[in-house]
Amino acid sequence: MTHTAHPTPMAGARTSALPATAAFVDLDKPLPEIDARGAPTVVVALRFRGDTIGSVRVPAPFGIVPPLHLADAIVCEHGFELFLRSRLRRPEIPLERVPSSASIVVCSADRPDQLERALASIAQLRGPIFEVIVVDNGRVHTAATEAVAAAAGVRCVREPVAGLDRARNRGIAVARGSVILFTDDDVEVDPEWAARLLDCFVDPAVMAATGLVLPARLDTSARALSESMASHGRGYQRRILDGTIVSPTRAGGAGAGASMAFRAGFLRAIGGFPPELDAGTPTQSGGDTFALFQVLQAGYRIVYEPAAVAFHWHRDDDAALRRMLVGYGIGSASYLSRVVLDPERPAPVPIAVRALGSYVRFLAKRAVQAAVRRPGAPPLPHALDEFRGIVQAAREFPRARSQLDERGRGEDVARSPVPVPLLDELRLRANEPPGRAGTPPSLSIVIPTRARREHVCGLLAALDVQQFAYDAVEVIVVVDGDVDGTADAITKAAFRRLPRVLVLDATRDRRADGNGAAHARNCGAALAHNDVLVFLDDDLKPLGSHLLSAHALAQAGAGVLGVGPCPVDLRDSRALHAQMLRSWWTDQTVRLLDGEQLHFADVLSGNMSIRRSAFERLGGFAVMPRREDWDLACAAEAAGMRVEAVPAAGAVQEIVDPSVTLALADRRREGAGDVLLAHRHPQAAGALPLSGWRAATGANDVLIRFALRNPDRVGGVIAAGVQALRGYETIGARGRFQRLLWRLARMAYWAGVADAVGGEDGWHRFVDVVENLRPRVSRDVLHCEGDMVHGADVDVVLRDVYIGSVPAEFAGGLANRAAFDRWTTVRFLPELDAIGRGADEA
Amino acid sequence: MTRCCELDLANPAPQLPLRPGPAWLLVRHGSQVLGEVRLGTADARSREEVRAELERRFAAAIRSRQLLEFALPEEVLPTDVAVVVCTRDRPHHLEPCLRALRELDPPPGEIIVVDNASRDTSTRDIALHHGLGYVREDTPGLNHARNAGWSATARRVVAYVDDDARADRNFVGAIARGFAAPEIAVVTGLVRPAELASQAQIVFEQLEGGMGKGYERRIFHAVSAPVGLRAYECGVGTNMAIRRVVLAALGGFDARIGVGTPTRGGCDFDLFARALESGHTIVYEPHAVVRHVHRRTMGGLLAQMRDYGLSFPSLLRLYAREGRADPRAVAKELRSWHWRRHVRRPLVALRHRNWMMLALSLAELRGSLGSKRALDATPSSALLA
Repeated sequence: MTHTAHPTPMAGARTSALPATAAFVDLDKPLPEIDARGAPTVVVALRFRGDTIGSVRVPAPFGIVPPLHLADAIVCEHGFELFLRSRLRRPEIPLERVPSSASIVVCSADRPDQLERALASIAQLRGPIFEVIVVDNGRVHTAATEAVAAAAGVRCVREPVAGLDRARNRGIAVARGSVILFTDDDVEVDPEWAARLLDCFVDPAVMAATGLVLPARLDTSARALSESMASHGRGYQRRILDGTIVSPTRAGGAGAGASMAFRAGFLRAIGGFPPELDAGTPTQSGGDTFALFQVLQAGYRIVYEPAAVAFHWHRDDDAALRRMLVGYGIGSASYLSRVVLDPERPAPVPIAVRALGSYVRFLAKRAVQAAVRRPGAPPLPHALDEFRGIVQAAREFPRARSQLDERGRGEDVARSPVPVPLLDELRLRANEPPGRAGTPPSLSIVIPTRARREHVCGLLAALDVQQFAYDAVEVIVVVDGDVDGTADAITKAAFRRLPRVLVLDATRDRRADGNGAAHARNCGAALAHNDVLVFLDDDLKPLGSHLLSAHALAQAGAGVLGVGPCPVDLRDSRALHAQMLRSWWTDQTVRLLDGEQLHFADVLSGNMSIRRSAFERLGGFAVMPRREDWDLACAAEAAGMRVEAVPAAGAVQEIVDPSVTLALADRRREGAGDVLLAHRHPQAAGALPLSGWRAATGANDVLIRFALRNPDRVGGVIAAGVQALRGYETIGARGRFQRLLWRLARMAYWAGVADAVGGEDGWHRFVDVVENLRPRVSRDVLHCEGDMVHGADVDVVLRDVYIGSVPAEFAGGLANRAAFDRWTTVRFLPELDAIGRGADEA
Repeated sequence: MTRCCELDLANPAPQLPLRPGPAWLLVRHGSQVLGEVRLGTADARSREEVRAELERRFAAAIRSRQLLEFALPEEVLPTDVAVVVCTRDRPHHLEPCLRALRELDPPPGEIIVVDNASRDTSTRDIALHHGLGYVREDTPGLNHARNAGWSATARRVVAYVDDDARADRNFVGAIARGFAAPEIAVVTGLVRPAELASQAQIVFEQLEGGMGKGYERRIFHAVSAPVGLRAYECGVGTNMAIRRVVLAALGGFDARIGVGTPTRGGCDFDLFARALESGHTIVYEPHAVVRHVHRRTMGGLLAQMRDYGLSFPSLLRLYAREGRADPRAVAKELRSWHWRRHVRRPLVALRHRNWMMLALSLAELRGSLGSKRALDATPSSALLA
């Protein structure tokens, strides 16, 4: 016998660029036998119960991957994940909040055959697709493109000037859906693609969603290299990039133009995509990242949803790959220049400098790895291409802008304000007539006010046009120190339907600076005659004409504490803290609307109703520095009443002061208020941030100890911290801003605790008295370990991952969403984690 | 004494001794081999506690596999497999080996005992007593016996099991499943210790890693999943199965080398290397388990290490001499092998004052010194003598 071939010595370097076959397998169906089509390995992406959970790389030297081999590889690499996912359930999506109309925009330039493939996959989509628009941006094969679009039965519009962003803008201009999904002509989409992207918009704070882009083929080394160097995918973990937490320059990590969706209103608010960026112009890329950047910069959220899968046909050509890499370099630098030079909302220069710095660092690291031939690193010339692109951007970006002057800006996207889907929904609910249930109870509306003459008059005017039987209404305005002639203004105002407006000055013979809202509300309630008390804040602006009837309906039965939603409208705020407040109020309102189990911490006295008899039995509001609403709710819960949301009673808070100093001062009062609350209602103490003292960080936390010992010096530290916060905001270091703010808030809170109990000694005495002071809000995932083994169904709802820390922790106690990530179990149960790592570990 | 036990989590009956530790446990769920757990001397848990702990630890592996639905390969059926046992003058080993083979479930198509020039009739008696096929090969040498084995059967797959090995009851089923595609020429399997009764056996497992290659399937191919000159990564000869057509095409086992010749070993290594050279695929299938009785005496262990040290370099040099491997690659591989095994390892042994490890390493080094002589004594004639 002859031996011709030597065994290949020690090969295996650069495995990542070896050609492979890409496959996508649904684990809910019987595993298929995968044809490797001549490639030595197969990269299999896995879908399980609708989620894309990861991928496995299986060797296939003999042409196929038998199902048994695939199964064992999956069990080895993803067994633990599969196991967990089979035991956990997803939260149900409130279907009424999923956008009902969506447009798909496919921009194509002279690739009719690929477009045909893309449109064929789009035709298979499931879900409410409103329209599909092909934007023809080519110059040669226009007739063929039109013919392909016509054959697929979709609309085709033409953008004659080259430029992907011009084409997208043309698409935005003609799209009629409330969400616009973008994909490219070299992409095939999965049938679930659109539905899963649209599901992301359930959260009203989400302005964009991106999906996982897998390679359609990896059969040549050019394609494999393209996937390893410039993958469009961003991993298999669902992530929420919250603009109030992460730096906006992380937009590039959210996704790519091959699979992304935006709220149409948001795109119109930023004026569409910048026409000087992206393919077809000298800058070659960057348009998609620009728009995602704007979402984060405005403090909104982007969801990266790997369950929405699209398949991209990488170029099978090394020269094209290198041109693309240079293009990425140019595009990245250009988009950063563009956000700084934005005519309407320019980003601070330090943000772009920081982002460019970290991009260059990343490239340099990769270049060094390539230079020392680290396995898996790309070839050196490829690794240097993006550097060349950054340098070329200095020439190409100005060239693109001057071309813009020659050729015009293209389609002008009609401007509109940023959409606020939450307010739209509340408005809808507040305007649809509620059902009737017997005679509605009579209402006494109590409005405490101080120095807000116009607002309270506006509120009364809005109450005057409600759809309600006005003979059963009385209004009591309690002026807490009449400093601006509120009483006179109200008396002079003419109301058509409000029968009786009682104006009362609660401070005439007391302190000139007012006695606080709680006292004012108690005064108003004391004078009320009707069955039900409705407490409204003076700066509320009702969203519809059924605020009163909704509260009345909620109070038809006894034993209910009705809470109406009162979000803020800070849609255009540039200040980070204002964006955080908006985010927190949005989450809180969604929580009310979704009717998750509410408890005392959800009660906000700004828009609240309670039966007068119950209110009197509970003794009214306690006079406390803060938390008088929670205190009342605790007492109500103890008396057997329940907290209920009144979604149709929506109103917007008009006055929101986004000052950080003010918020920290409030936080300090909350600390003091919580001490009183824990003292009066020990059963509730476990749910207060106070109880964190015993938990992980508490007793040993330097900040807490400092604040407890030196409450007087906390003020100075906070003042210095607020200056630092300003600096962080300027350079766009949002993560650091969050962390510092969180620390300052903790100090302020514990200084407030010290104010109330009298220093550290007082705190220890207090802990001894209030025995319940241990955390009760358990992370329920913790307890499912035993059940998982023995097969009982574990009722655990998966939560989303918020990158970074949790802003709501600062903004208001525990009422916010639990912020642990979906697979927290992995972190909590390290020994179970070991299972997933392969069975041979002893 | 360390016990070697097995725990089948699919079987609710108690299978462990009351107080299992110290023990090495092979954990399985039916035919799926999950892994191995070592219980220490100080482990005082009851068997129920151990079982509960292992159920918890392997829950993900078991349940995730149950979630998946897939067809098992039926390219090769258990009845297509002939199990061949080559033996020489070791009736005390052969008896339990054959007993294990007769309990195989599913059973193989055929079991053949190859009597390699035994000096008495006890081997023959045992084979006939069990009612198995019996072939006598009068030329001494393991590879002669193996060639006689595959020549004596018409089954598509020949599975070789040494006489000091005890096949697991699912052995043939797993081997048959391992041939999942027509391109797979060789399937090797997991080798676990059958007993850890003497110090030599424990030392062999703990310091040399025994013969186990892990609990994950591995696939080898000259181009797409290469092992270079380290064909020993593919498996061991005491648990390997080869398609008969491949054996015929390769010309069978090379009778110039292997146990009973100057090179004293490496017959499996040579076969794997040649199969890979010819473009075949080798699959290491961890679910096919064989339990092996290691050398019981320290002298036997040291002799075994000497043989290892002798066979590997002499085989590589033989390849270089015959032009089958690049001489520079061989030299490089041998340098690396000496550096790892005979420089770094003794230094580690000295640092940890591990004299046993030092002795094993030196025995191997001593063996390697004789490799040139062994090479000279190996004829360069055609493969089949």
